[in-house]
Amino acid sequence: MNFARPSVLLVALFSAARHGLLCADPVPNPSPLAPFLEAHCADCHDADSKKGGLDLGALTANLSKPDSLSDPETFALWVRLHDRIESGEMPPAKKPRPAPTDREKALQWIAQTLETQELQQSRDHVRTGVRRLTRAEYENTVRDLFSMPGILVQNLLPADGSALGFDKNTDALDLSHVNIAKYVEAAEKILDLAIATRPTPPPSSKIRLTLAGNYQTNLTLMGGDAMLLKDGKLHPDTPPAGAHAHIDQGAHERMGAFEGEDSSTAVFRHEDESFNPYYQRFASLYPGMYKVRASFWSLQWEKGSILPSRTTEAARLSIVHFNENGRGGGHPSTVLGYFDAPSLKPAEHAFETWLNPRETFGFNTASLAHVVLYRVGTWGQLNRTMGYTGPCIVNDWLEVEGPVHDIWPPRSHRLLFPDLPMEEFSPKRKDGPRMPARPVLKQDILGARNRPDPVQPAFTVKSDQPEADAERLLAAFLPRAFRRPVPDEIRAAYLEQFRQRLAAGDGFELAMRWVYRAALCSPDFLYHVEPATTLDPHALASRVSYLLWNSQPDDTLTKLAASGTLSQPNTLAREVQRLLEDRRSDRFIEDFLGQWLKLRSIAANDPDKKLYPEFSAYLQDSMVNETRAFFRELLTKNLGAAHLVKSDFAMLNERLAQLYNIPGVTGPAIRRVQLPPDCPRGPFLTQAALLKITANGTTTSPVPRGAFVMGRLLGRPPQPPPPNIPAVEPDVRGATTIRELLERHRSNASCSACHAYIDPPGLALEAFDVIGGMRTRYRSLDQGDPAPRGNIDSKISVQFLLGPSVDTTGEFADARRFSNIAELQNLLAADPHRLLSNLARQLTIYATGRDVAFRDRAALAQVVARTEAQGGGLRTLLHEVIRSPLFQTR
Amino acid sequence: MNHAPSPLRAAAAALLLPLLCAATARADKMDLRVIGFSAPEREKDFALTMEKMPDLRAIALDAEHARVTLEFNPADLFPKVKVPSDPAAILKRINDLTGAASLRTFQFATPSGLAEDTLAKVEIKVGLLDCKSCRYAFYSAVAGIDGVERATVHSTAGVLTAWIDPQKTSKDALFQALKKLKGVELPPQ
Repeated sequence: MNFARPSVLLVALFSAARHGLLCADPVPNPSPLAPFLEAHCADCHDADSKKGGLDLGALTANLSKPDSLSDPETFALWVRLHDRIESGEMPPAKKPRPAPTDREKALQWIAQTLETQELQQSRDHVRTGVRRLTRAEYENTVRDLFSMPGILVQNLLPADGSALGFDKNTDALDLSHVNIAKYVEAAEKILDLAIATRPTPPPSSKIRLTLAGNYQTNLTLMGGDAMLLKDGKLHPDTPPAGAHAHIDQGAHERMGAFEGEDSSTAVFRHEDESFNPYYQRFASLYPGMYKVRASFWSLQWEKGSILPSRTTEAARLSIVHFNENGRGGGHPSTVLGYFDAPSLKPAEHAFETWLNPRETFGFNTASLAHVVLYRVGTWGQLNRTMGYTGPCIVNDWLEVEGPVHDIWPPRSHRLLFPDLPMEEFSPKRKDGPRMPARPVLKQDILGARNRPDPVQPAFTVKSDQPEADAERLLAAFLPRAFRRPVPDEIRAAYLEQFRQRLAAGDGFELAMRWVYRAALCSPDFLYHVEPATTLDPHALASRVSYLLWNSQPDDTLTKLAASGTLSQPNTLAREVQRLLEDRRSDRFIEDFLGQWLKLRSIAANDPDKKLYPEFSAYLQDSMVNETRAFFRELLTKNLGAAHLVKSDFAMLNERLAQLYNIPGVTGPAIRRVQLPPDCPRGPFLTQAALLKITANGTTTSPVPRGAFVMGRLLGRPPQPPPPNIPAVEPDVRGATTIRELLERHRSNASCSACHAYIDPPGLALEAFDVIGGMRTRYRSLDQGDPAPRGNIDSKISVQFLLGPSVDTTGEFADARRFSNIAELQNLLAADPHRLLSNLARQLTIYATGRDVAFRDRAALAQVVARTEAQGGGLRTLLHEVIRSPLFQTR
Repeated sequence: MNHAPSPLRAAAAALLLPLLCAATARADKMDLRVIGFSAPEREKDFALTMEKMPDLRAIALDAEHARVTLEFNPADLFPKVKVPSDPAAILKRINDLTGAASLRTFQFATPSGLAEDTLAKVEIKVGLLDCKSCRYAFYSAVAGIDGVERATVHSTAGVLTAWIDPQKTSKDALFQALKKLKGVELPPQ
């Protein structure tokens, strides 16, 4: 810090203060700021009024202290002052407007002064600090480096922090001893799965599984919430539960009632706390890719008759990660997808997926009402299944084949030991070098019937010239793992570790494993290593790759970096396009939207079950998929930023279309749907995901929704609330609307200024409830009129009432008025520049891992201007961000 | 050295082998009561079970009265140990094999020896039972009771019929056993 150089701003404002705003001594003012402040600001922001908590007198008085602008809060305050004047928000509309030249001079003066100050402060250090990989980056890097696309390591690592809304920010990525310990644990797991333990691949098996056969499904079949079919008709030996439930589950299992591969399992019941069916007879033993096929269809059941289904229902498959030996429930799972179950006609779905050891597939009747039908007969349903009427999803079978290896040893092993043979050894021998542990593989998941192949002899990697091989292997591995050329001295250090392990008695494989583990836990692997100024080609390749794939560069990018051609604009643009078209760019969409639009918080609260009984996990997943698909569509079609708030199309599946009241959409697949002219749906602003994220599960409030729109979409985040001001608590009884409560709150002068700025967008968004459904009246549990069912599933009980009417009118601080959501959308969409500028800023922060400084504004404005000159599309924006100096310098 | 068998040696072996086998083979027979014939459809299951046990042959089956005559070579049933002389031990071995082959849905027992006309026929209404396994479950609830000689469940009539030794058990005992089945509500008798 340089105390010898008085800040330019300090000197100038000190004069200004003496001139008029702060004291009466009339000293000539060298800056245009003081008369501006005196004329337009002093009335409201002197020590007495302090409107909005801003005392310009105190602010400028502090400038008498050396380097006061080096205080980030003071600096931020001056930036805010600049921005409010620049946006025209200050002085307020009701006050006399400053002459444009005075305003410009004042702004220019503040901007130059702040930039000078910023340059002084950052002269001796780089803009983006040293960043370690986030958890997601780490996992994706491991998956791509080792060609193990489904290995789970993220959950081993501590959660990342967040700064400026993103976990990629330098300030969020600290490192503790806990992280180190977990990196070691993760490296062990990676190497365990990566290194082949046998010279021939494990046998691939094809197993056809039925839902019937596992304990939970059997129980459900017994009770009547599921039934067996054969050739699309009632099973002749095991018909649905009728006058009484099936008797004696053990007797049925002994009789093989649930065994037949030609039996289909038809399920009426949605998953719940005690029913999470999965294919228990299979649990993966070997990591690898598996081919999966499954057959689903649906029907309408009417007291024993099979009728056409109401629609194409949605069957959900997930990967179940077994706890311990698989006993009991509560196994975590990861959704694989939602699959069409068409009416009466089986649809076969095929895909490939990675399975880690101890995993199987889970099933759910996703689109059925998520209410407890539990034993339809015993809870009042006469004649159980045979007396029941309702929709049903049928699973004929699920076939799993694998592990499928196109080469052996697998690529993960070849990365570590590319061409070395394997040799047999005796694990029991006492002499000679230490050999790796080779525990005997067993199937220890209860109920799983697939078994490992007979015990194999123990094998290890063989090397006749260990040191030469180690040097060769490290020369190949380290640059790939560290994502750049590795100097000889670093390689030599790893080689020395290898020698030490060999001398300590390790065999070749163990010694190499030690070194590989060290590399995976080293800063070179865990951190983004970038030069201090302009990025070199490899750092540029990494930045592009970690932006668009959230992972390491592939061979093509690395070769272009090595050849020095990547930074050529055409080459870079071509590569950006290639990366965007690759499915790995889904990771960018998931990670960026997860943070920019807070999609990661989608499950932060569960909507009240009585107020929003139609909410389900399927709806929630559909919401998230809509937002991701919409962003993908904006990128693919290179659409403009106005689409963030207004769109003539939406990305929907049937469940969302049902929520949005849009006819003609069937099935679980998200697709582009053209909207009628007056429909407010489509853009982020009115997507159910964002409306849910900005609500609390029971009620909505214009404050968090307004703050979200201002901060995330318009780039003008409100100030945090002052201390000791209680939040406005909505009246859950439904007697008073949130607008009435807010008006009381805003009657306090110290609150009104901020809320006039924050609330307006939220007031229009009151048109949407907690789960994103459109409403004209608030739902209530205590007071109101009986609510019509609408398109809520007939199996779901409607208990809520309709309370007071919703008022969606509002007025921005600059006096622009709107009466409903459509008018708000028109107002926001009329300024695509603001929307584009904010998105440019968000993308830049995300991509560079640091804030956009005041002096970066010109470069950012250039990014936006260049984008607008090319039509303002989002894909263009992404290209322009990447080619900008903001992105290409550290 | 040439290890190929000479034509003379091969001819001798062809002659002697059947004789040696005949000397060790022994075809025992046992008349047994079958537990597991819950309904006529179980006859097919019984045949499938027997197919899984090539060392046991059902040479005579009276499914209606749940009786069977099994033929077997005891040495085949006890391949690595000495054949026990106690018939109960042999029956136990047969039941072990049958239990494994049928998931314990079939077992054998020594017939009671009671004359048919000394047995009492008992009928209990159980309601519509269109499920094969449910019929078996009802049957199992009574088949193990001492004194039940045989039983069968008729799906359409909704009646469980049992032939019992009235000296050992009663209709009420059977009725109580059925009532203990979880989830069962027996219709009015």
